[in-house]
Amino acid sequence: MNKNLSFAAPSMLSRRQFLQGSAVLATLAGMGFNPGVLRLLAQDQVALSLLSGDWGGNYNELLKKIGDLYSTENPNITIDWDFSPTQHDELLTRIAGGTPPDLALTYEPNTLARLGAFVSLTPYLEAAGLKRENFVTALWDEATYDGQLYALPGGADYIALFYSKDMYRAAGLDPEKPPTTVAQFDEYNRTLTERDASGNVTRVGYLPIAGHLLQWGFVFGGNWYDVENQRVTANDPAIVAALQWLYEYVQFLGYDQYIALTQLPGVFEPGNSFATGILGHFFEGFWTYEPLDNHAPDLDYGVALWPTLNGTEAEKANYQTGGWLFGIPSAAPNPDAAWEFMKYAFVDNAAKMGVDTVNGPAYLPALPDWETGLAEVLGADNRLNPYINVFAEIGATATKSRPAMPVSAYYSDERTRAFEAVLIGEKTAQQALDEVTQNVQAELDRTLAST
Amino acid sequence: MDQAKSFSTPVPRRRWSSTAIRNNLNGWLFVSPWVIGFLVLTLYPSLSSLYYSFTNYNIIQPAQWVGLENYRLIFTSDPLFLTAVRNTIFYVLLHVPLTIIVSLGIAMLLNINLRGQALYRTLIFLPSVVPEIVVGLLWSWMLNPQFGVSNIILKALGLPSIGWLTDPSWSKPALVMIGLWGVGNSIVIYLAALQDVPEHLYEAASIDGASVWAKTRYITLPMITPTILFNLILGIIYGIQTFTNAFIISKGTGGPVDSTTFYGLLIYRNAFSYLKMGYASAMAWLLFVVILIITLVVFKTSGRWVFYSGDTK
Repeated sequence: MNKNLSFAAPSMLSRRQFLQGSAVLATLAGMGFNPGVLRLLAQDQVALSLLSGDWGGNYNELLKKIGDLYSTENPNITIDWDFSPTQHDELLTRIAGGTPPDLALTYEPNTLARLGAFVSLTPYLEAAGLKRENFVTALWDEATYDGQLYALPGGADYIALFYSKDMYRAAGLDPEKPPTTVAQFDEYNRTLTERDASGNVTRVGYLPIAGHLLQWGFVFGGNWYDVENQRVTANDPAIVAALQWLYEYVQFLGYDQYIALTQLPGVFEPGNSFATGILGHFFEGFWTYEPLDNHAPDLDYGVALWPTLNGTEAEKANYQTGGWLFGIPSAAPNPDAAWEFMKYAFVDNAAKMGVDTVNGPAYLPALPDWETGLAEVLGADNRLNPYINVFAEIGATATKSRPAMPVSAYYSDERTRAFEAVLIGEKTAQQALDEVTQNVQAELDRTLAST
Repeated sequence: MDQAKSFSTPVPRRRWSSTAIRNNLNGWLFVSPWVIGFLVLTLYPSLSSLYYSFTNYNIIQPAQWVGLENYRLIFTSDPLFLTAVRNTIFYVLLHVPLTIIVSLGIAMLLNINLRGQALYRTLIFLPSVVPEIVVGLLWSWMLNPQFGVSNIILKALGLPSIGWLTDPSWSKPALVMIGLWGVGNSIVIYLAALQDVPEHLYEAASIDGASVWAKTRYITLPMITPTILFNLILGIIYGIQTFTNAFIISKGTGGPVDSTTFYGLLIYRNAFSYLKMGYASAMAWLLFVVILIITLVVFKTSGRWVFYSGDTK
């Protein structure tokens, strides 16, 4: 420092002082962002960190309700929620960085379990006396790898057919007789279709989306994956028939008409095609009662089971139920406490969790209480009230799961590609599904060989 | 220094004075935030990904060396590789020339002394400061075939509506159009270059009776060729890596019907959806090599058409 200038300059920091000060500030800042450090200083306190997804709009952050209830009953446990729109990427980052959460939401339990990302829950389940039959078997099977369960089913997505009774009446269909078979469904859709003078479709029955292909494949009696032999079976003749049927239906509408109609607002948005009397059918979960109350308050609608191939009771076993699960990452700091909370939320209080967080419980014994609870919340004059049992029935009967295999994300993308290519007429259903089978099998074989 | 060849008075041997040392250290201290950031956030991840490209890293388990296997798989077993390459090349061939022509044209217009010139320049620059994600979301609404503003305008003009984002033949042109909306950055650079062209050249040309077109062709364009080269290279580098808009508009699927499956999108899917981080790293380094080769080729051939005003040719 040039001392001769001290009369003019204000007291300046020397470089050493500056560096020391910065180091102290940086350390404090680093500590300040880690409340875990401060919590650890408190005795007997357990801070569970939960990584969940952002379900959007009104559906986000609802799981906090069951978390808060748990903390009230167990004051020494605090729950740190992270509702992330990119929860999958965040989980990977945290595992790679060595700071995994205690509990993580997952839609791909098999892929992650195979890589050792999760702790086996089988010992906990055996100690609690819980078995496969207690849960929606579709989700249980999805999370099973090598005979052990790696993620607990949290919520099941019971998907049913919503239909517009108003449109039925206008088209001369009986509003109390929704379709029960695929053939009836097809017939109703064609009856509901109306065109204007220039041939544009002004009213439509059903608009297929890529995500439905999985269910239609199962409904037609096909199987997407042979777990025993680890063979991809996308070109199962029943599945080819399903995709062919979808193609023919879109041909009937006209591909450009179909595409234009899919661009209209969806059922969760105001002014949507169901509310405005353009769309007659859609498939969704029970939570749709809320947007329907908001955007279509005067529409008379009903709910029915997804049409099966021949309408028999036995075929209901072909329903596939997806959902979400929670796993405990392998290096989680508090695995036992994490299990206790999971059991509390998704088993012991599954009915309450389902009602409060607008989810379908995956723990089957909770279904009756869930139905009652939901009916109370909806109120006696809600249009969905008479149909709550439809959703519960799906839970009780569905057995098919999303393919429980390591390359499930790749398989899903390939199904979407096949769907789009067939509908636009670029490939036949057989060609497209043969390619899917080939591509996914090759990918699966490579993955099985390398890990 | 060779003292035998120096001046008659002996030059003292160079030695670091304490002032010089301190100044040097101060300099390093000032650039240290950037240097640390570069080493930690750019160089280290880049070299790591080079390492991972020779492994089967899947983020959760430790990496295992597999040599050139990933690179081999890219060329032999990825059904979408050729589609991605074709889509990316098509996009770059459409996007880069159009961007240069449009931004240069607009810059020349903005160079004319008009009332409100500053206002026009600001308005035209504004779209380029909108974050990319917002641009993608905004344009998905505007290009919606049913209720989007663009088709409403087309219908009003009596033209058929276009399936901008739903028709595979229109999805890439739509993305190019969205990209052109944000050329503000290039325009600013061209404006600076245009204003650097010496006035006396134009005056001499006027005396010789040159038309506006002749002036543009023989004075303006040659004088700004260095800037065109700069924008060309940047345009190719960023164009080949196109990802964000395609990702938002296709919601990650690369649709409709694989028409927006670009190379960058394929890398992202393989890395984060399929957990094939090693394979995705190999794809990324392959892309780096390709961009490097193209850039070098452009540089090497630039001598033929780029005129640096310091030259005599």
